[in-house]
Amino acid sequence: MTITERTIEADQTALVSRLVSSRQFWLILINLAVICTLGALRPDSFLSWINFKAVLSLMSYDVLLAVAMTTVLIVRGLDLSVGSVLALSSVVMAMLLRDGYPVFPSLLAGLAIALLCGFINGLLVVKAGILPFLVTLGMMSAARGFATVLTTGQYVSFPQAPRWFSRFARQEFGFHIGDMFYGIPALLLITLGVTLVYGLLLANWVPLRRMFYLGESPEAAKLSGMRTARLGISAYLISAIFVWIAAVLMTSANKIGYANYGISAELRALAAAVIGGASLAGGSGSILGTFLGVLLLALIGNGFVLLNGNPNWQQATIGAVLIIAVGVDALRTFRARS
Amino acid sequence: MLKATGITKSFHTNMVLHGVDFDVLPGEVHALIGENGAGKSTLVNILSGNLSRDTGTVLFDGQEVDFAHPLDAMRAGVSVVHQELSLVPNASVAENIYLRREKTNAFGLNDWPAMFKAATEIFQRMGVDIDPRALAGSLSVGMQQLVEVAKAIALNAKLIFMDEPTSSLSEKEIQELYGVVNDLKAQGLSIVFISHKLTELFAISDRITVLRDGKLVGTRPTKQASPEEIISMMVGRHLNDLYPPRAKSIGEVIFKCRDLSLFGAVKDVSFDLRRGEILGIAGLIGSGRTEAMRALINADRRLSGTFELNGQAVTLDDPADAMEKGVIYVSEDRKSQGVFLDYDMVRNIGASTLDRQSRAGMENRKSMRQSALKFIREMDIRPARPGTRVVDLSGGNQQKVLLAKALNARPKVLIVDEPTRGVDVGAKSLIHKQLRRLADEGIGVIVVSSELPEVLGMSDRLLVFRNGTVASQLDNNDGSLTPESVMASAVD
Repeated sequence: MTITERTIEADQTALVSRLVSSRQFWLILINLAVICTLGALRPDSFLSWINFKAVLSLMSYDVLLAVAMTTVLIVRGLDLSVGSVLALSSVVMAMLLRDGYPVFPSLLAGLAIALLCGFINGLLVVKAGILPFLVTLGMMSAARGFATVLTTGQYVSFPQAPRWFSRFARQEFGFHIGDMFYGIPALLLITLGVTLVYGLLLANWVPLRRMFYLGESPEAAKLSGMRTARLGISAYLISAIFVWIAAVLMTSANKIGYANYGISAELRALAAAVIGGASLAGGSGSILGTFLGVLLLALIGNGFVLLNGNPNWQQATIGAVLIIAVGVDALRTFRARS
Repeated sequence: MLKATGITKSFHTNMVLHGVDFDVLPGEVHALIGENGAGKSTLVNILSGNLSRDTGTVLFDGQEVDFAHPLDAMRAGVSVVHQELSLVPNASVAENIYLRREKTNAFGLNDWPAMFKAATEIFQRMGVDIDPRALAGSLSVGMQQLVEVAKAIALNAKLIFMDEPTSSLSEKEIQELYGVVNDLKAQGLSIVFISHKLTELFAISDRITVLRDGKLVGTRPTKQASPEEIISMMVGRHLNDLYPPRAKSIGEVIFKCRDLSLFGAVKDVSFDLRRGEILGIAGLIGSGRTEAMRALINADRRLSGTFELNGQAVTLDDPADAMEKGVIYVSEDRKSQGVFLDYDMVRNIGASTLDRQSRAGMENRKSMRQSALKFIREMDIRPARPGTRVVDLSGGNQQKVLLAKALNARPKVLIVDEPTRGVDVGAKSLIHKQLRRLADEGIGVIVVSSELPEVLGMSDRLLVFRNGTVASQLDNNDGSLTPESVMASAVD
């Protein structure tokens, strides 16, 4: 046999072991296990279309924020300001809509403010070399504070805005089976669509692939001819775009802008991304993994509601899942080394 | 004072000290010298309780000792002033001197007056003027070094090891340190002075001990030794026949570098690189070799430098720009600046060529895999499975992957820094053959190495760096260059 044939054969056997050792594979199994358990315990309430729709719609925002978080984690960054920037962007858009500005300029203003926050984060982290934890902790507080000042902490409704805007996120698209209408809200469709496209790009598109190299070893990436500063700042800008999408959907779905949107969402996003295989050490993470991480946390939350458990346990459980996930990682790395 | 006999030490299967004898007399300044990797640091670490020895005996003050920990050694009176300073920058000088042995008053609190007074006395004894109340971090490097010495004296040290104490000092600070060393010697302390700088050792020491490849070459009274003798003891006679043949023909200049400078590290470096030749760069650690090569591709902001590639002026704005133009630097630090450890060979070898190996902007994994397979065959990388993560490869194979990554980007000028550091003999000779083949194919090859036999064996011409600049250019096309002549221009 030539080296090539032997290699291909070896790689095929490796494929199975790669699948079994892959993060996503286990997350799918765990999610299925949770679904089966809940389905067995509460067949009527859990296995209903309405419940699925509610769970998935509610987790849409978390998916978008976790995708934002995953992107910066890949380049060895961190963004604690996702929840606050969501609120600030939402407030800015709602105020402009309230004051009678047309929809698209208002949305673009929201995008601009999110990108500005992302750019400041990226610049301070990449160019000034300040720890991302500190930079984005500052931005988290600053953006939230600014949103509160703008609105004096009040809801911002926009009754004069075109009605389609305050409706589209909840607009359902679906199909009839017998007498039942199975509708999927636009909010969820948009989230899934954007996430899917981005997931494919992140796995294949060269400019995004470079972000992984940057996170894995910044110095090696630089000496491999990658423009690391530009790449690092781009990650924060991409993160900002996803935060803005979440802000648009949340503003539309709730028909108000609010300075307290997304409180502690950054921690859920971080937990989901890490459970999904992203690492604070950079260089790893996938959109599928992150999505499965958010799903797992959402199912756990849903389970507590349906089983009439004390909802305070939900937070504790999420914490435990996170620690187990990173614990398993640490164990695997430890075994691989010894 | 100290007498060590037959000291042996191995790391895994690698023997770094082979039965070394070393002794220090009371009130003596004893210089310890040798090439990088000769075993000086290991010996010091063993004698000061930082490492355990495999075999051998150590007598200190007439008693057999076996320090299990640096603290044991300190208590017995053996201190080390390390090259990397270990002061706490935000504490006062006096606190640093008495760290973890603070003088306390009746309430168990720091007795500041007593500590300041004691510190002042020590400085008086050393004949230097340092304020014990000043924060350690506010002092110059030279002053901090003296505080380290004061720390050793406060411990009643009888023997102080100084590991390259002058490497980052100014001329004035060096003179001050010499003064302190002579004062302490007059007071009966013994000092072991480790340095690369020959002039310095001749200026200050009473005896000189030379180590080479973990073996004792000899100890000479300084008065009876000459610098030439010490240099030839350091380099020894190295075998030269393991290297590929030299350039068959040397052609026109393909790359020119003029007035390359980097703040504080590199000054006005100029050189030409010709088609077919391998240009070696030698020099001691800290001589600015690596810094100059990094400045060439502007990995660290350079002050000045103009370049010509095949007769055309080029700018080389940053590493990416340099790579696009065909000037590629392969780092000496394989693990943190070279390969992507957690990624497989395909991703590593393809890292510099993602654009070229793409289809409609998407990664073309088939093409990346093909190139990986090609290099795996060419360089005999094992295991020959492109999906193997680089972290799971041996050092030699990691180095081959690193070289493959650079070659995949089709260099016109390839700069390899320490291309065989920590690499086994087989991989080493394969890498050497590859480099010679590249030069024969017309690629400009620059080999930076701190291993003298390697640069001498590989290069047709040699630049010797000293103090951030090119100290001499030596022709080596007939392979007649000797380690002695290189060392002579590498040391002050």
